[in-house]
This record gives sequence, structure tokens and C-alpha cells, in this order.
Amino acid sequence: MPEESTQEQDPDNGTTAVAATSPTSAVTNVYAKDNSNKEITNEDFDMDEDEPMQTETEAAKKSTAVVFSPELLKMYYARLFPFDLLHSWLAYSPNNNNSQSWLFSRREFSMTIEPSPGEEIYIRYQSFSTSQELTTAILKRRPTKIDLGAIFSQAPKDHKTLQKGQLQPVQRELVFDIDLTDYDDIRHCGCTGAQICNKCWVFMTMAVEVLDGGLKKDFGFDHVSWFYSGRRGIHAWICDETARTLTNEARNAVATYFEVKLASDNNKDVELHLPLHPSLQRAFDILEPWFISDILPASGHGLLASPERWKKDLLDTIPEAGKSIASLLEKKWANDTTTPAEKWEQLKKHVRVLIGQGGGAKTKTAKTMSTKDKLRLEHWPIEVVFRHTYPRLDINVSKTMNHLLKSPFCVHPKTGRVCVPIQPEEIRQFDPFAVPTLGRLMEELDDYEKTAAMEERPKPKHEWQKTSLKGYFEPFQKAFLEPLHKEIRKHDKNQAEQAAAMRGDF
Amino acid sequence: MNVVGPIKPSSSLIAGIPEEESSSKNAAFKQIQLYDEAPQVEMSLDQFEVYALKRLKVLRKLERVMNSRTANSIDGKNALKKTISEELETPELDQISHFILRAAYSLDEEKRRWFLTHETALFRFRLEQADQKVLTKSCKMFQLTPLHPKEAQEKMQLLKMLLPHDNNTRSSNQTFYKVPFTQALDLVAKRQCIVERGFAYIPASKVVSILAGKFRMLLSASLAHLAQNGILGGSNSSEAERLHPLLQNINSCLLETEPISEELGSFQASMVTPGNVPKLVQHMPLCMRTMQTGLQKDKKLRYHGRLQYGLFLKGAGLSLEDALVFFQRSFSNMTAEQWQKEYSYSIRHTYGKEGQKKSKSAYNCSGIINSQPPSHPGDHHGCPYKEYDSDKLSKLLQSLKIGSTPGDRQAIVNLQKSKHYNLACLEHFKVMHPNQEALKDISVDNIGNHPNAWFRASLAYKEYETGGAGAENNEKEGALVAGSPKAVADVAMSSA
Repeated sequence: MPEESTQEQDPDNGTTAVAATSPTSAVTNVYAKDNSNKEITNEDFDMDEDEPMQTETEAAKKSTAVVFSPELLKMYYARLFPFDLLHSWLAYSPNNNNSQSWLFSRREFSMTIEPSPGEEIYIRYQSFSTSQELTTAILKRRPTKIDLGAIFSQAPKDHKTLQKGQLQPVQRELVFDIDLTDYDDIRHCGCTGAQICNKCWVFMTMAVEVLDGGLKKDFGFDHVSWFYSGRRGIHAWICDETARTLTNEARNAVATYFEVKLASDNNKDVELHLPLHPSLQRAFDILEPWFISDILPASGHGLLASPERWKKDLLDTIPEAGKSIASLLEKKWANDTTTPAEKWEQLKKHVRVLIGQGGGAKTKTAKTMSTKDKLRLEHWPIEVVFRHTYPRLDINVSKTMNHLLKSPFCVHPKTGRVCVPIQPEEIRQFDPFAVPTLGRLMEELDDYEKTAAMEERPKPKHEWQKTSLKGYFEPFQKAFLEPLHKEIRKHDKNQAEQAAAMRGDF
Repeated sequence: MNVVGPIKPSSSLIAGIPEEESSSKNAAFKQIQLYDEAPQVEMSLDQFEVYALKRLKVLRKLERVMNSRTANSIDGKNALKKTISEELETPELDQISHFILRAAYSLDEEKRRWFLTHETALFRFRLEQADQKVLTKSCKMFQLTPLHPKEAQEKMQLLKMLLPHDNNTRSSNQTFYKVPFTQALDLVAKRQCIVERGFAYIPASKVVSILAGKFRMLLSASLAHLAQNGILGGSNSSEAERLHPLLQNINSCLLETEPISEELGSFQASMVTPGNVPKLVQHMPLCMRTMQTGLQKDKKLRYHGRLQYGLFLKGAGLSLEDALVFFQRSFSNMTAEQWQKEYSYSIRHTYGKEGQKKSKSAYNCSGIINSQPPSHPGDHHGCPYKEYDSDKLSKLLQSLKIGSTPGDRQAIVNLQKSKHYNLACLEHFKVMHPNQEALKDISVDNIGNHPNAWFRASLAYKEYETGGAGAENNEKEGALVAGSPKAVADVAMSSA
């Protein structure tokens, strides 16, 4: 698998727009170059591959300033990286810093480092017994990327001295990875590959709304944390103990539960069952309004905004038995002024009438149509909505414990943006382009120092509190870390009480 | 836990099994066991072996029925029922034989998985045949209690959708079960249960699936434990010395895990050369044929494709040197340097010359069907019957001129439509190899289960048609049990 990531690279990568005028631009692009220094031969090696990089026009448009460089990265690690947040999360222990947590010390970290420009080395099986050790290693190595793996039965850093089979993954957050790249066939905003814009970001918003609800309501997970990947996607980390200890089989089942397989070029036979499963019904109720407001009109992805689009991508996909609707509506819509939303309602109504659910007398066709055709037609509007809105998961990331996933809080070297936490309740307000880049963070620090000198504000505990990272990190502390720690404390207390009861000394 | 340890001198033959149950006919079939406690019995080594082979026969029969056209027919079920009642005559035989195989098959991973899959299938089959009383008892065995009527009433609005449509009127007295969702994984994955706050709500009609899942979990844990701690961990050393070779023998028979290439006559092994692979496509099943086509079109194969096709060719007798030549020639769009740097490694890896240096054998059909599905336009791996829809499949068959009539092709497509991928593949073979006379002498057993079996049989057929000497006569079942004692081989053969 590691070889895969090199061979699929786009040869044109060298032209990345980021920081084209900067003297460091040669370095910023190494990510796209040959990774032949990778030394990994482990068959189990699984990681979230970085796909071919494309020109990030959006980033270039927004700013021509330097957003990322090794110097900036060094500064970020030295001054802003929230080591304490990462540690107190991954230690799953409310008593920060001084306590040694095996959950932390047996966690695999892996790092991508660049000893010299253009050279890239991937180091796996790093582990650290304390927050301090992790800090020291990161400050020294200054990785361009950090990945988090599983928690193992032994400290992964000892992997060379351990016998085969002794290093087994024992825990790992359940993770989900969603990338806009997987939406290319339904993105009509002009973006492809790694490009994103506010129009297509809406797919991520929908994904969070559907998945977050499902994870909490259906599976009872309470500690779900969402992150912007820094580029074109989002990650979910589900941290409940029950989620961390799921077997690979169970991960597979949960991921498959959230996956809706729709017809593809290779497989047109798709079955949705009616009545819809409650989880799908809930998803549909969330998604159809988005579909109407953001997929149909020209201001969105334009599915019902032009005759070409509605013929090719909508009417032509009506099942055979409903073709009469297609030709009828095509003529009708050719010269009328209904809005896309009204057209969608008309379309749905025609389908209902055709299969005899429209109320009133049944049409002749409704009486003669086979049950199978009726069902296909009944499913069709739901399928259309799901095809254009339902979250597209990179399911392989979720399936196994030892799949590596990019660590929150690190920086995407192509965009310079920090992988920041997102609060699911505020996903609609989240703007990926507002996420600070390294360049901007340094400016913010400078600005703060200037004004602070004048105003004599009290000195914040962390340097990141002086920047816009505060707006991302503090809600993470409050809405995710605190409840997580509260539950762990409660759990520990219960256990202690039980143990005391067994000994008989209250 | 120590599974074989308890087999030591003991006064009674069978402990704890009531007389009446063991004496009645079919008792063993009806009595569903968890196998959670190893029996305390004294038995001869011969008997030990015979018991093992009896169970083996059942599991093999089960495997064949599951993979055949008759899987869901009354005939298939009855045949299987008959074998089970005949071989596992008494509950105690059932129990002992289970533990012998459990111990023997814990020795290597592939067999553990095979044993786990088929024991679970056996358990499930028995449950499916069981009446309500047995089922309720089995639920109790797993501490599964029906949902409290009050809670069921509260949730009826939701639960109703789990019932078949024609059943709505009777829904008020339907039984539901509530289990942690981790105990109902396959129902969760298929959204065939309601999942709420971590609990799965299941109608009684689906409870078999839960029980089978629990059974699988227990057995899996026990097998993992055995694998880690050794079979004879707890018993004294002289006992271990006596039993170990026996278990090894049982372990080494039955499964076709050896690379099929070793069974090939030398004439065939030398037949596959870098030059003639493209010509041999007509002898390959559809998956490998599309792979070769994809390879020629793209001038490369992606990772999973290289693995699936490379191992198949290796199994067909292509040597490492030849494989390197073949793939390098086929990857014609790149420089020799690029080839060396990026791809030759993975071919050598396939042959166990790199990395963990573990020689792999070719994937069988279930391996291919269950592998990661193709997700990229350049992916050609996987089972085409599973990955293609019927339109694409029939176009492909037509373009390859498979079958002399549209009816031939339709037969394949129909099987594919009903998701009988293995049978569709077998049908493809039949259509291409219509001479019944020739087929008599060819081993067709594993066609539809292993691409290499398909390939081998197709070559043998051609050999026959062109008048070659019957080079396949040592192909029968016996060849699979190389290295095991004759007695074992005989019983295994007779089960065929």
C-alpha cells in the first residue's frame, strides 16, 4: 500500500500556487514529490493516503502571503501547538501532566519529516511516555505531518525488540474520514480533486449533521469530536470507551450502517427498503431541505437550474416505467418560470400520481404497473436526494483499529491551515477559509504583542489564546474535553467504590 | 482455558449427559450445544481420530452445500441434516469431535478461520431447523431475554417496521429482543434492526443471527486463546507428546491451503510462460480475464490487482523470474528504473522474497469476493460477478463471445442477478466446456471456489480435447491430504 501513494501522484504537482513568490516555495511543494524514502514494508500498513495534490486556487486567491514554511512550522510547534490539549485528551485521564497513562504511552504516533528540502521520511511506531517526551520529540523533528495510530498492548516504540504478535492494537477511537474528492461527480461548483469552495463545503456540513446525529442517537456515543482536516475534508473521532474498544468487525458494521450504496456505473441494482430505516428517514429529513436549497438552484449546484442539467442528471435517471413523466416535464419546463424547488415538488407529485399514491382515482398506468416498477419509482426521489447529499465515507479508514489518521492540531503543509476542532452544533457557521494559516497566526501573535503592550491585559496561560485559535480550541475544551473527563472521573469513582465495597471498607 | 487437557483418565465415559437424550434418534441434531465446557472422557487414539474425521465430514458437507446451487433447497437441507445425524450420532460425539477439531485447527490462522466460519454455519443451520422450544431454550442459554412487554409497547411505532408487511396485525404479540449493538453486528450493518442509544432491537425472527453471532464470538475467543497459549498448555508432557502429532495430522488434512501450483503436473507448470499468458486468457475465469485486459489497456495494475493476478499466475506455475519478466513487459509505459523502484518489489513480495518473506498462496473465490472492492477506475481486481451489474456483465460476456447462444449468457447473468457469484462462474465454465465426456476425467470440484481450479480444469479439458494423455488422473481428492496417515486420507476421501 505505501507504494500506491507514490505511483498515483500527479506529475504536474510542481505548480502549486501556494506561496509562488516565496523563497521557500520549493520546500512547500515537497509533499507532492517522490516519497521513495519511505522505508515501510509492513503489510498491515494502512494510512489515509494523501491524494494527488492539485492547485489550490482558493488559497492563492485569498492570500498571496506565505501560509506555510519550515520556519513558520517551527514557530507553530514552539509557541502555539496545544500539547496539553492533545495529551489530556489522549491520556483519557483528567489529572493532567503528572500522571502516567498507558493509553497515552502505548499510542502509536507517526511522523512525516523532511531532513532536507525535497526529501521526505516517514517514521512509524513512535510512542512517548509523557506529554513532555512528545513535546521534545515534536520540537526536535518538526514533522510536516503527524498521524495517530492505535493504542497497543505494548509501547509501539519497542516494536523492534518485541516478538511477533506481541504488539497488538487494543484500543482506538472509532474514526470517520470524509473528503470532498469523493464528491467530484456531483460537485458543480467548478471544484475538483483537492479544491474546495464555500459552495461545495456544504456537503461536509450535511455529512456532519447526518453522522453526528446518528452516532449519538443510534449508537449512544457521547464523546464525538469533529475536525477540519486542514484541506478538503473532515474527520470524526469517537472517543467513548465503548467506541475505543470496538472490534474491527464492529467498526466495519457501524461504518456500513452509515453507508448508503447507490447505483454506480458498475452496479445499477440498488435496493433501498421502504419504509425507510429510521436512520435513513432521519437523514432524509435533514438532507432534503439542503437538497432543495443548495443542490437544485443555480446559486448552488444547479441540478434544476438548466435544461441540460435537469435532463441529463435528473429526468434521464427516472426508471423505465416512469419515462412518461420525463418527457412530459421536459416539455412543460422548457418554457415556464417555476423555481427549482417548485419543479422538484412537481416531479415528486407526478411520481406519486403515476404509482397511484397521489390521492383521487388511480390512473390506468397505476393499475397496470408491476409492484416492482412501482417500488423502483417510489424509491427514486429518495435515491436522487441521497445521491446528491448523503455523506460519502472513506469507509476503509473506519474499518480497522490500526489505520493511521492525521492528528488533530497539526498543519496541512499545502494550505498552511491548522487541523482545528469543529463543534457540530456550529457546523453551519464553520468556514474552512476562515481557519487560520501559519502565516496569519504569526501576524496575529505580533498584533497581540503590540496591543498587549499598550493595554496591559493579563497574560493568558497559553500563547494560542492570543490568536484566533482560541475560538476553536476553547470550545473543544469546554464541549468535548470537560464532559469526557467528567465521565472518566465518574467511572473511576464508581470503580473505586465498588472495590471498596468488595473490601468492605467504606 | 485448556481444551484438550481434560481428556485424561476418568471413570465415566460421558459426564453430565442424560441417558434419554443421547439414546433417542436425532438427539444430537436437535440438541444445540454451546461447547463451552470440554468433556472429560477417556478414549483410544484411534477413536480420537475417527471422531475428528466424522466431524470433518459434516463440516465439509456443509461447505459444499453452502457453496452449491442446492444451498437453500429442501434437498440440500435434508442432505445436510442426514449427514449431521449420521455422523454426529450422539450429543457426546458431537461435543467431543468439536473439541478435537477446535484444538487441531487452532494451530494455524487460515484453518482457525475456516473452522470458525463452518462451525458457526453448522450452529446456525441447526438453529434454523430448530423448533420454537429449542430456540427459546437457546436464547436462555445465551442469557437473552425478550424485551419487556411495556418497553415493546412503547417502541412499537418504531419496531413495527421490522416486521414483514403482511404481519402487521399480529405485531402486538410479537417478541422482540434488546441486545447491545455489538452483539448484532450483521443486522446492524444491513440496517435490519433498530439501533437506539447503543442497543439493537431485533424481532424474534432474526434472533438466530444474534445467537450465531454470540456463538462465533465465544468460539473465536477460545480459538485465539488456544493459538496464543498452545493447545496442550495445561496438560502434562507425556500427554502432550502423544497427542500433538495426532492433532498435527488432523490439522494437515482437509483444507486445500497448499498452493494449487504444487498439485499441477510439471507439464502444466512449464506451460505458463511470460510469452503465453495473454494467449491463455481463454482458460481463465472472468476475474482474471478482465485483469489481463485491464493490464493490457492501462499498461499497469494497481496494488490489489497486482496481488490478485500475481498470486493467480504464481499458482498457475509462473516462476518468480518469469513473473518479473511478464509484469515488466506488461507495464510498458515506464522506464526500467521506475519499474525496478516502484513495482518489482511488490512482485517479489508476492513470492515471499521481500518484507515478511511469507510466501502467499493464490486467493480463492471467497477471498476475492470479500476483498476490498475496486474503488478507482484503474482497479480491475475483485469478482466481476459481484462488482458489475447485469448490463455490464452481459455486454462483457458478449464481447468476449462467451457461449454459443444468448441463452448461455442469460443463464450466467441470471445466476449473477440472484447473487450466486460462484455459480455464475461455474456456469461460465460449463458453457465454455460443453463436452460431458471430457469432463468426466477432469476435477471440476473447486471451479467457482478457486480461480486456479477453473484454469487448471480448463487446460485439462483442452488437453483431453486435443487428445493428450490423461495427465490429470492423480487430481482427485486424495491429493489434498498429502502427508497425513492413510487412514485419515481414506475417510476424508470417502466423504467426497
